[in-house]
Formats: sequence, structure tokens, C-alpha cells
Amino acid sequence: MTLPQQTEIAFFGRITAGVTHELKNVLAIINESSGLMQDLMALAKETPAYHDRFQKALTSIRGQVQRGQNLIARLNQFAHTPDISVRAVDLLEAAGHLVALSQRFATLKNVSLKVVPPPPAEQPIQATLNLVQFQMALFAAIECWLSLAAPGNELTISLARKEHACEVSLACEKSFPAGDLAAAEKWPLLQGIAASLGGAAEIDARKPGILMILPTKPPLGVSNE
Amino acid sequence: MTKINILLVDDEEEFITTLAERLQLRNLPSRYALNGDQALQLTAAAPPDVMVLDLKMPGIDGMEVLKRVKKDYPQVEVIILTGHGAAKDEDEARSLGAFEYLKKPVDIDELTQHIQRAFQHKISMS
Repeated sequence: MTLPQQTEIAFFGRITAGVTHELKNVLAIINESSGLMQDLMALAKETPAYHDRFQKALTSIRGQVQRGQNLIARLNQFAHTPDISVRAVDLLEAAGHLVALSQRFATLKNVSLKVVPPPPAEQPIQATLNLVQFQMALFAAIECWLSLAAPGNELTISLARKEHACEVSLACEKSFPAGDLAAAEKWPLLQGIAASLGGAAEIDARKPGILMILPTKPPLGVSNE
Repeated sequence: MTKINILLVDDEEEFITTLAERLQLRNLPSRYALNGDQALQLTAAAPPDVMVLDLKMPGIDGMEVLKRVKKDYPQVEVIILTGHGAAKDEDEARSLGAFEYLKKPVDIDELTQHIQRAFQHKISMS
């Protein structure tokens, strides 16, 4: 990644991190205000008109505050991704955050995404790499899959630790035209990012899906910054 | 029940006044400050038993308030309540003596329990 690109990504990250902090304050005010309404309703001597409807609406507000809080927490972590260029990364955690933030793209295509963790004895799955590039590669792989997946299909992302490498597998529950992946619009991008990480992305016809193999240490010439 | 002297510190006025009102409804009256300077002035005037403190504020930020309060009034128990969830901030706050580190938005009953626990801790230490 060139210096101007790193600067641009850092800029987006910094602004986004600041905004997520403000959004948490917005949610906190909504949370306290709706909570105060619930408190006052509970204290009322007589049952107020529309009591049940208000309670239902307030419960809905609290549920949405929780939903927003989860999304903002993930977005905040995502925004801090470019803070350090190359570092030791827990790939399972990074994949989990990215998939959570990518669910909307899957929902629009009526498909689903999930990350299946390996057994605890095989965790953590760590690699020293550029986290932005890892997440870009994973997202490019997800986009390739989304471009070909039929409604109702499910993509399972799993990670495995190998000697000097990590495998990231994107596999389908149902039939999938894996042979068409090479023609997907984002396939060259995926190939390019995987290569810059010192690894490779290939079609896995057996599962079927995509297999990314990434080194646990950065290629020569890439250093911590 | 012994009255707990609570000081809430946050630059979001709408948040802090609503929180104060909800605590009042639970028989936990409080004072509030809208920035670090005010927090230090109110602490100097009458040190609280428990301070609920935001980290990101204009002027003297929450971490600096925590540092000064724990230095000058070590008996004050400080609960951090922030939207800023970085692990390094939590580590720093705890190393400076924060009693608890909570993230916004927080459940009022959870906050109330932490305030009471912090107060009990203060009594047990005195």
C-alpha cells in the first residue's frame, strides 16, 4: 500500500472513529430518555392511557439502542483498523467483525454469512499482517461469492492454523457455481490483495467456495510501521 | 440507608440531567458537572463518595480528572462511564485507580449497583 493510500485510509478511520463516539452519546441519550419514560410510567398511580402500547414502543426503542450499540462498537473497532499498518492480528476476531458489518450486503441478496470458529485448542489464529488488507481481501472474497450465490444460500467462513500459514475457507452449504468465480468482477482484486499479503486465493471446487492461504509473517520488504 | 454523595461528570448535558433524574427516582440524588474544571471545583468544595466520569470532554479530559482526583482525594471512588471503548484507555483508567469502567449506554440498574458497590468499597477502606 502506498503512503498516500495509507494516509487516506487513516483519514477515513480517524473521522469514522470520532463519529462513532458521538453516535454512542446519541444512543446514550435515547436510552436514558426512554428509560425515564418507563420509570415515570411505573410510578404513575393510575394506569395511563395506551400503557401497553407505550411499553411495547419503549421496549422496541431499548432493543434498537442495543442493536445500534453493537453495530457502533464494531464500526469503531473497524475505524481503528488502520491505526497500525502491520501488526499481530487475531484473524478470527477480525473476520467476525468484518462479517458482522457485511451482513447488510448478504441480507439484500437473501443469503446469509457466518463465521465458524475452530475448536478452542486450535485458537487463537494469529498472523502478523496489514489488517486493512486482510479485511479488504476477505470482503473481496465475500463479494465474489455474493455475486454468484442463489437466494437462500449460506456462506460459512472458517479459519485454520497451518505451519507458517493460515487458511481462510469460504464454503457454501448448498450448490454453488465455483467454476464461475474466476469471472467475478472482484476476483482480480481478491487475487491482488492476497498476493500483496504474500499469500494466494484460489477456487476450492470441493466445498465449494474460496480458499485463501496467508502467511503468518509478512513477506520480505514489509515491516511494522 | 446512608446517603451517597454522587457527582456525575459529562459534557452531554441532556444525558447527564436525565441520568441524574433517573438516579433521583431511585433515591440516589446527585450533583453534576459539565466539564473537567467544574468536576474538580465541585470535588474540592465537597469530595463525593462516588464520581461517575466520562473520559472524552473538552478542556481537562476525564483521564486527567481521574488522575488528579485519585491523587488529591484517594478516598473518592471513580466509575468511568464512556462511549470510548479502547482497551488501552480501560487499562490506563484502572491503573490510575478507577473502581469500574463502563461503556455507554449503560443499564440504569447496572449503574446503580456499581455506585452502591463503589460506596461500600469506600466505607470498607476507611
